[in-house]
Amino acid sequence: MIEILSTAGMASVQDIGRDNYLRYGVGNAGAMDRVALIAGNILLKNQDNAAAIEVVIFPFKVRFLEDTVYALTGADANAEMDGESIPPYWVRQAKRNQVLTLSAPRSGARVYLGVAGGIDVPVVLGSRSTQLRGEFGGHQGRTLRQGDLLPVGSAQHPKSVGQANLGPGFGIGPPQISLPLGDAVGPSRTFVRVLPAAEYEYYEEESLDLFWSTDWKITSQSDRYGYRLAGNTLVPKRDMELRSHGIVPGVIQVPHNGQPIIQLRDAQPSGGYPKIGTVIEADLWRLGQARPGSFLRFVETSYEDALLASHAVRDYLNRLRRLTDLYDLCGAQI
Amino acid sequence: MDLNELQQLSTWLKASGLGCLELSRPGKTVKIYVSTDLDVEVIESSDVEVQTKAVPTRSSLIDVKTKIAGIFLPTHPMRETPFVSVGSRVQANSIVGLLKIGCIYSPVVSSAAGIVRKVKANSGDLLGYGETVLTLECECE
Repeated sequence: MIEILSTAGMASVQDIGRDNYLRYGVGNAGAMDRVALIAGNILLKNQDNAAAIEVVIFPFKVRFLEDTVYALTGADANAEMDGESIPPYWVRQAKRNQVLTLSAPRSGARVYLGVAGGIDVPVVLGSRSTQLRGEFGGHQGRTLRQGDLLPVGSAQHPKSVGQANLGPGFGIGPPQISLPLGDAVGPSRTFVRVLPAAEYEYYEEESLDLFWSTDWKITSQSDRYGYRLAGNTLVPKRDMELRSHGIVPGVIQVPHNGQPIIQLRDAQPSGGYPKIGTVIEADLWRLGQARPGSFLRFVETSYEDALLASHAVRDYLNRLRRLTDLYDLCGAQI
Repeated sequence: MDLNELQQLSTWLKASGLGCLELSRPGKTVKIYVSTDLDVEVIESSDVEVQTKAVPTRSSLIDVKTKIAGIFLPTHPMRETPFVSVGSRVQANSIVGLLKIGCIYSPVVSSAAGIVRKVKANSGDLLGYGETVLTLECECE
């Protein structure tokens, strides 16, 4: 069991999400930074889709009610346990009653706290992720509150029980380092690759140029549902009225005000705004770490390159899997 | 194998920064562990009684050494400040740097509490087994 000690809201239990229910009108939900979620599960020897806690508001505090192997991935929350600093992308063990404190990251937006065995909330429609709009899944279909007790699944991790001496743990190379994209201009600008979508050609040439060449500010009206962006106004060649149609996370819609919206994990599965582009699946995790107030840049890509980008993510995760197994063989103490 | 030889082996172990040595022959096994935090040697053997020998501790300089080979990183790549620098006070078993082995970051751990007097390894250095990363002034009595 894990006890939530902080009052800060918006943290939720998330796994990979429920991708197979869009056709029934059920949104995806799931981790905003899927790469971080899976990397954490690799460190913990969990299944890739084991559930973790997605933390967005800090400080965030939990108490481990039993000896627990845990992993921190995503943004660097300057985590601390009994005065000891825990690096990001790290696996460690906590003793019963130890308290872990996550502080506001200097860059990045979301931290994943995973445990060996996963957060064992009931599976609803094939997933443990929290469906906030539908109020089901996760922990009682809602964000976490102070005093919530989260059950931990039975761990496959060999180090999860009865180890007398706690080691310092070990870490892995974060995707921010292993899968860089765009100029190194600091954390205030995130580059994501975009495929032109169905209504792309119905925009004025000048608008399309601006779409690719200028910064888009992530406004404060941005969350798991979607990011509302502010920048130059995108002007269509003529007014468009579309019937509602299916949309997926990553779709960039343009409402009548010409300011784009990127639909994300908790978006409703259909919409009627014109679609100028789609952020590729391989870069959605980058959006998950882009915070309100920072800027996005869209980089045009092709279907073939989007597939290659997905392969690069898969190869990165496979590398992690292979090397963590090898490192465990070397007798790593966590 | 007599006691002097065992002590010699444990001295070598400590000097090289290794944590454990196991020697086996048919019917006989000797394991020597060097405890990093207590400065105590435990010598176990299947045919010799287990014995413990406490080494008197004193304020002195201690080299923190690598226990695995890798590329030394004084700073986590997602952070700006190094784990420690000269003058930092560290606890026993705290992380003082990383060794990068492919995509694995293996921690270099302080063997005692103390104050960092010298950081010998540079960022990007390829360090072997048992190489000195930094020197601590030990805060033992």
